[in-house]
Amino acid sequence: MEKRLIWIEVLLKIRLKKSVLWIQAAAMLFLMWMASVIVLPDHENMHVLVYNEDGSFGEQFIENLKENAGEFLFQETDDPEILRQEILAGHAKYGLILKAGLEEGLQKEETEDLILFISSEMSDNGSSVLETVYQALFSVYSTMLLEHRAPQIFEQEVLEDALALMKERNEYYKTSEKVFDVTYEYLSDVKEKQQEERDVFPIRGIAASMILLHMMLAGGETVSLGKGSYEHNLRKWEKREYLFWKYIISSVLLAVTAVIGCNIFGVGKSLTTEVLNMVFFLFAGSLWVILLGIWLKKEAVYYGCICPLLAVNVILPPVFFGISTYIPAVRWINWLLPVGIYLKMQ
Amino acid sequence: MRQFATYFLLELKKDIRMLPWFFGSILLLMVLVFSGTLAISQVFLKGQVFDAITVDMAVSDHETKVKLIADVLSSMESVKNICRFQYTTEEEARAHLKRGESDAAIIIRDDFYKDMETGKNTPAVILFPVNDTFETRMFRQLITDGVSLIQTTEAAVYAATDAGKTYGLKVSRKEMEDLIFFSYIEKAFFRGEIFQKHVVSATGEYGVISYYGISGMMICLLMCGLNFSFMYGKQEDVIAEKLRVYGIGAVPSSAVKLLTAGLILWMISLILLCFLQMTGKLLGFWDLKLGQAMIGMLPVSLSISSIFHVVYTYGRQGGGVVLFFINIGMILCSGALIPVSYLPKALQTAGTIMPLSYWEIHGAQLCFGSSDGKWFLLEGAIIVGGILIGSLKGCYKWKKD
Repeated sequence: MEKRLIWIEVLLKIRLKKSVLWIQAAAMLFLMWMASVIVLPDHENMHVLVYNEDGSFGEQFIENLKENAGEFLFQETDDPEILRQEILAGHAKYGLILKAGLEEGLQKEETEDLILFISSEMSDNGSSVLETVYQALFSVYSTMLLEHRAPQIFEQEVLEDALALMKERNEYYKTSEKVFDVTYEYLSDVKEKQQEERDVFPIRGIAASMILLHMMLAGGETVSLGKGSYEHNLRKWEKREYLFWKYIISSVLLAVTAVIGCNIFGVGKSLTTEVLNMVFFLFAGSLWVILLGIWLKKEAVYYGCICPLLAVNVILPPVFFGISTYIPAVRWINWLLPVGIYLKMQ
Repeated sequence: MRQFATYFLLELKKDIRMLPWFFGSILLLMVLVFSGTLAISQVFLKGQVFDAITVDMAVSDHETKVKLIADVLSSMESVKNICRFQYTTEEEARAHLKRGESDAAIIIRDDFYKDMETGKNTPAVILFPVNDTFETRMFRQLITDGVSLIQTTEAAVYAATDAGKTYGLKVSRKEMEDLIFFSYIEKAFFRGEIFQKHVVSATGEYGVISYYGISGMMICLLMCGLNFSFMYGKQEDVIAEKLRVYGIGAVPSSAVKLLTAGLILWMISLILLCFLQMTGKLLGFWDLKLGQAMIGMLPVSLSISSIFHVVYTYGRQGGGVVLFFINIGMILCSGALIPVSYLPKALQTAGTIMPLSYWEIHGAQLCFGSSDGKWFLLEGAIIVGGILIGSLKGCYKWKKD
């Protein structure tokens, strides 16, 4: 026991004296901050910006649109450039520009290209919002259509009165129960469908991958030194135990930083849970690097494998995206990767 | 000069001999990074798109006209994007919904079409689960919009009928109904023409797939830097001292290191370009300007290698984590993973000074368009900067000695 305590003390002293480790810890915090401020566009964002170039008719249409918005949130903007920027940034999903001449075009029944619909390459084609927009417009357009058709239906002498009555009745019927409707019925006790795993953990993932890289580089030192290393003089299992502690101790500062970072950036659970998860991750990572050292003994091969192995740990577990949504087998592979195990514990 | 050339060739030979050891890892890295970036591009492309839900349509077998209308409706773009219809009975539709096998159901009662023809408004019943999802809510919205179109048309026909009762009609009632009904239906069917569609792109002029293809290549090259740490072991200080005795100072020594690493990276970039070309052609994504890209990637590779040359010169093998930090920082800020327009303002500003942003643009120009000369100048400056900064350590040591 005493021997192990001496190992830990000496290893800790050696590591903490390295200024590059402190830089790495600061760098880790910085990366965690960066990951925390990036917000990806929300899948359920139904924000639609509208810019009006058509005066009072456009205003009336926008009001009607807001009243019949349903699941969408229509908001007026006074700058078409802001509208484009908001769509590009993913803050708004779609944009509508009501072109000058909208009312005139509808009056003349020349309806081609009266509204500019803007969507992003990253969103869908907006066919559903267009239905909502059109039904709101159709309601307003309906009055114009009645005006156009009235001379074909009524005699000239009664036209004005007939049209007035027709408009009044039209408004009444639109909201009455006499027109076609559907009845919505809601069923309870419905078995809920299993939701796809869409959770990603960029903040934790970045921290864990930096710690793992640090461990792998510490393993590289052992491979580089070979027979010149201290541990080479130890017996087989003593050597492995020493390496186990060496890799853990080499990453203690980064691990502490990661736990603090998770709490600062709002992804931390209770401190005990965080510490326990991190200890488990360090154990898993250390064993993984020991196995790597046993498997790859040549320096160039070892260093050559660091990058793809790190990539495996960043790409397969849900660090930036959940690849397991597309390839379910990846869920099981993640149990073999330290970063995967760490993120599974969340 | 002769010593310089000899040293350069020796260093290059030494590094090239290491290349076969890298080969397997480069291939693995290539596959991983490209599949990763492809997955990200899919996440971005499909992340905001609705998942189509399954809707049971309970309708009697003899209601053939209703089925015909439903078939027409289901072929509409807006409907296709949101739901898939499947015909069943009312009992089965309810059972499917309870078991979670469908997301909603439309119940059409017997004689629905006959009622419609005679002007009787028998309501259709739409079933939803109490805890509906976003996709189900979108389907309800689509139903509401469709019903609104029907209501507007019906209201117009009824209004004209009422006015006709008071003021008399110029035509028969049937003719009046047909005139209004068909005018409204025509407008509703051709509703798409009112919209002029315009798509804005957050990934620039080359499209999402090309953007992520170039990103994948650049991320691979950046990350390959982690493999080069063996070139900067502790023995390098001793070698540098010996070289100084033979007249090779800190600057030429730094230049040789950078150039050899850059040449190896360039060879890797050639492999990546060939891989990119093969996969792109196979999947029908692109046809690269391969010759131009192969030559143009030399300065890009050299400038990338100048970054890790500086990091390893000062951090030795421990510089790997610092390099990883720099790489991840550049990847996040420059929009290699997430388009710049999605980033907060602070990161967007930081991205403008990240070399990866320029390598990405230059890489895309080399592969798909024509290259802008200013990028070569910038890369030249980065290479010279890398050589000089890398040599400062040697100069300082020499002065100290």
